[in-house]
Amino acid sequence: MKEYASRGVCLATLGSMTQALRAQTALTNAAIRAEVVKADSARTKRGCAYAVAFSCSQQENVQQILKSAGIRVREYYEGDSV
Amino acid sequence: MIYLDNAATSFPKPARVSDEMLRCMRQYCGNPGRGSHALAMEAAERIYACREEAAAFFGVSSPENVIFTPNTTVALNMAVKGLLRQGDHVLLSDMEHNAVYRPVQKLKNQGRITFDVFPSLVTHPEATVADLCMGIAKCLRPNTRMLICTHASNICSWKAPLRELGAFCRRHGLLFVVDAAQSAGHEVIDMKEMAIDALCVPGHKGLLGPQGSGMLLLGDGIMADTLLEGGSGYNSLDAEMPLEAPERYEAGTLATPAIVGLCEGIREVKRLGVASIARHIAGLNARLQNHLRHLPGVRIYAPQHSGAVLLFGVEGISADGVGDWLNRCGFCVRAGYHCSALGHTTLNTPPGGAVRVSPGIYNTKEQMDHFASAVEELLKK
Repeated sequence: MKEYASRGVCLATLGSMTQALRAQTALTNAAIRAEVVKADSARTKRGCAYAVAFSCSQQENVQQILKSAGIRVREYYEGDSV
Repeated sequence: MIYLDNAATSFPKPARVSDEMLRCMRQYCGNPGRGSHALAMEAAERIYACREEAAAFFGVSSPENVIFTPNTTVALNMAVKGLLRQGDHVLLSDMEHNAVYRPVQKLKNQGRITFDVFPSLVTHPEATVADLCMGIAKCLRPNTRMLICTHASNICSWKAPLRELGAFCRRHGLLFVVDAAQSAGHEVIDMKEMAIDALCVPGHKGLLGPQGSGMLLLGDGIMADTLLEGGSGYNSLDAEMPLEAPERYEAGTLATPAIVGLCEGIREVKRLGVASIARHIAGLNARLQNHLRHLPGVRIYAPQHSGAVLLFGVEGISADGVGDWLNRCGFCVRAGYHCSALGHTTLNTPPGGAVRVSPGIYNTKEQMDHFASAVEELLKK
């Protein structure tokens, strides 16, 4: 993940819309701007999925916050835009 | 017209409910959880906000444990058929609605489960909670896995002591399923404190939402089999439903306008206060009961309970006859058996059932007085 930090936008793939919104809420409550987006379908093995997009500079905080909220992240990756 | 059939569905609805439904249909009614364009996202965010609202209202640990259904009946079917396994034994009270009784009976007919009905002691004014639990304990079997109980009867004002029943279920390792069709919005319900595993709730009664809205609320760690399978908006390449709630249980497109209406209904109930609503309705009920009990030939069923529903009959006149008369006088009440074969048997109502009066938050004391006068008028005929 750290390699993405300088490049801007990172994404955490959650799966369902509800999980993505829950993640967004957890991040927003921690003053981290996050946006729910559809994950890149080419990357997902099981079809459609939702993700939260956030600044890569926050990736360590994001991982910690989502973990402590009990939100299971399928994959972190670098995205193109928020 | 004076509406006194709030046990069937509350009426009228707060303006904020219909206003939001209309706003939804005009401004943001995309398909929630399907795609990521602006309208789909806004609809999804509104749906999620309602999950959060409902979770906070009912003491549910997480918004994803809030599953939207079209009504309580669907929620109960999901809980009963999704949680029971081959060979299980089930206990249900003798005051259950057919929404509980019929799914359980069907599973029994299919040879999948057995069940027993435990006495609610609704007609025993002296009965204690300990008596109730003792009666239930006598029905336990080694394979008893679930206890289903209505929180508040749909035909009289009897209420089940949920906290004590929840503790009983925990002690005996039973799943605790609660039908809150008549109590949601009228009684404080906290799933965690009451040890409820599955709470089945209508949106269109005490929560003041629209018809077509309801919820199944699951306790922590509860995973049921699915009743329906289909699109969930994600994991689209999988042949099976996802494991995660709520999408696991919500196959197909959600009723977004109904759900955002329900959300406003819950907010209105919170604004008014559940305790305040309960006090108001119980006060109306007590006032009406006080009038009716003095009328010769009028029988009130289970009068010792105070709450939201009053059931009565008039000697020599069928329940439907009384209902028709009241309708002509401008009162909306429901006569008959109220989809409660067990309850009417327990209360020993006559052939044809009885007349149910269920005031709501918008009724007044004066309306109760007018209603009693209409019954009195009928007796003179």
